[in-house]
Amino acid sequence: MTIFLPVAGVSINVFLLVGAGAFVGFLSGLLGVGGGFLLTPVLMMIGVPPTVAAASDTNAIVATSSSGMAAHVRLGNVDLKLGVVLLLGGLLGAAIGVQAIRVLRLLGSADLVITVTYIVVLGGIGGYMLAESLQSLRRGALTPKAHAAHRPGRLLGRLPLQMQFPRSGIEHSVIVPFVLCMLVGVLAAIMGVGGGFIMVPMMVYLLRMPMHVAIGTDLFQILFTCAGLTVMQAVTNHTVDLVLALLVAAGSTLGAQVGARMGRLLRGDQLKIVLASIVLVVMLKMAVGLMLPPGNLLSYAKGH
Amino acid sequence: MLATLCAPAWPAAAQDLTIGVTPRVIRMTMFAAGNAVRVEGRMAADAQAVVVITGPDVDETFNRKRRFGPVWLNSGKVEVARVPSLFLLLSPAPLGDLLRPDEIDRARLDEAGLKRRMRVQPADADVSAVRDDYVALKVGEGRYQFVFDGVRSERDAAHGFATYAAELQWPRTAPPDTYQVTVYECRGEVFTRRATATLEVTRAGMAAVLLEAAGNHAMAYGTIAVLVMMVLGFGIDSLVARVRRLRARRTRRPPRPVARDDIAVH
Repeated sequence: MTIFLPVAGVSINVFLLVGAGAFVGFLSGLLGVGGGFLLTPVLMMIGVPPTVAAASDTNAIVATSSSGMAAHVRLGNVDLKLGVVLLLGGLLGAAIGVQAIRVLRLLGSADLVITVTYIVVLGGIGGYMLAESLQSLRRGALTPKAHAAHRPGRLLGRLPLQMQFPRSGIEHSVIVPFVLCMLVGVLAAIMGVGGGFIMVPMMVYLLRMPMHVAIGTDLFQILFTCAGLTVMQAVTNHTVDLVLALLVAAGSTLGAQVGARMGRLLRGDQLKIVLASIVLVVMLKMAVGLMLPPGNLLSYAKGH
Repeated sequence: MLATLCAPAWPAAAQDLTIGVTPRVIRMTMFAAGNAVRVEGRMAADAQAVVVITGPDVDETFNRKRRFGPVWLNSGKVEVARVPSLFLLLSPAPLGDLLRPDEIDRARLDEAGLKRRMRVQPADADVSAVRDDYVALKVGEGRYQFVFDGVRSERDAAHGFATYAAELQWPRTAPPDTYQVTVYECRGEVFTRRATATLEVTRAGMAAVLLEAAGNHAMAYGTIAVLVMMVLGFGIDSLVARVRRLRARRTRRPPRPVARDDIAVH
C-alpha cells in the first residue's frame, strides 16, 4: 500500500515508513537516543528527498520522545529540574554550533571537520562505554544496590549555585550540567544530530547519573529541542511533511513504549553495552564508508 | 491532436501522426494507487514510433566526493543545469536499430544526447564524470528510463496506417508538474514527424491542502505539526498505560515495583 507524501512529492510504501519508525522508536525508548542519526539515512534510502527526510524526522522524534518520556516519567526516571538546565545549555550550544558550522563552511573545511568529529566522538564514547560496561559485568555485581547520592569533588564543590537533584541522586553546581550540555549542543550542531547518544553517556559518566534516569531525562530535553527545530524547519525551509512524520511517528511511539518497557528488564551496564555497540557500529560504518569508493560521486546537497 | 511537422526527409505521408495520452491528468491524492499511463495513436504504415516523456528543465546542486589520500570526502558543490526533471524514452527497439547515428545525435534523445545538453558548473569540475554520475543517479531514482521494447505497433495495410501504443507505470519519484509527451515517427532511419501532448500531474485533495499550508502558513503549520506529534506521543502512552492497568486488574496481580536502578557508576 503506497501513500503520496504531499511535501516530499513522492509515493512510498506505508509499511516501510511505519516499520522504520518502529525500529528507531524502540531504540529511543530503550536507550534515550532520539534516533535522528538512524532515521534520516533510512528515510533517504527509501526515496524521501534528503531535506524533507531531515526536517520530518525531527518532527517525528517529538512524538517518539513524548511517548518515551511519558513512560519514563511513570517509572520515575525523569529529573525535570536537571532536564530544564540541560535543555537551556543544549539550546545555547546548538546556537554556537550553527555559527561554527557557518565559519567552517566559509573556510571550506566543514565536511572534513564534521566527518572527523563524528568518528572521534562516536569512537571515543562507544569504546569507553563498552569497555567500562564489560568491566562492570565481569566484576560480577549481581545484586543491584541503591544508587548512593553523588557529591561533587572539592574543586567542583566550590562553584556557586550548588543544587541537589534528588531524582538523579546527585549534587552539582548548576554551572556544571549547563556547560557540559552546552558543549554537547555544539557537537550535536556540528554533527547534525539531536545529541542523545552523546548526552546519555555524558550524563552517566560526567554527571554520575543512574543510566535509567539519564535516558528518561534525555528524552525530556530531546522533546523540546526537536519541537523548536521542527518549527524552525517549517518556517525557514518548508520541508516538514506532516504525513511522513505521522506515519513514522505511529510506528516509533509504539516502539518507544516497547523499548522503555524492555529497558526495565535490563541493568544499567547492559543498556550501556547495547548503546555502545550501536554507537560503535555507526562509527565503523562511517569510517568504512570514508574508505570505500561511493557508488555515485554525486549526492544531493542537504541544505540544512 | 495536432501533428507537428519537422523538416521532413520524406514526403508527408497520407496518414496523420496522432497522439493520445490516457489519462491526461494524474491527480495525486494521498492514497492514489500506482498510475498507469498509456500513449497511443496512428502513424504511417511503414513507420516506427519513439515515445518520449520529459519534464521541464531544472537546475540542481550536488555535493561531489573526491579522494583525499585514503578517504573520500565531499570536496565541494557542483551545479547541473539544462537537464529535464524527468526523461522517459520508450521505443520498439534500441535507437541504433531504428535511426542513423547522426540522426540520433541531432535529436539528442539518447543518453549521450542528454549528457551533451547538460551544463555543469564550476567549469573546472570533471564534467564528463559529473554527467555520467548524474544520469546514473536519475536512472537509479527511476526518473530517467530508457525502455527499448516499450512500444508496440500494428499495421493496417488495408487502410494504409499503423497504430502504436506504449504503456508505463508513472514513476513514484516524479514530482507533480506538467510533462510533455512527444511521439517521434521514424521512417528510413530518420525522424520524419513528431506530435506532442501534455500530461499534467497535480496534487489533489488533502495533499494539496497540506502543501499549501506548508508553503503559505508555515508558522501555523509547524506549530500544529509539533502539537499533533505531542498528542500522538502522549496519547499512545496513555492508551498503553491504561491497557496495562486493566490487564493487571483482571489478573489481580499486585502492581510491579518501579524498577529504579542498577549499579552505581564510579
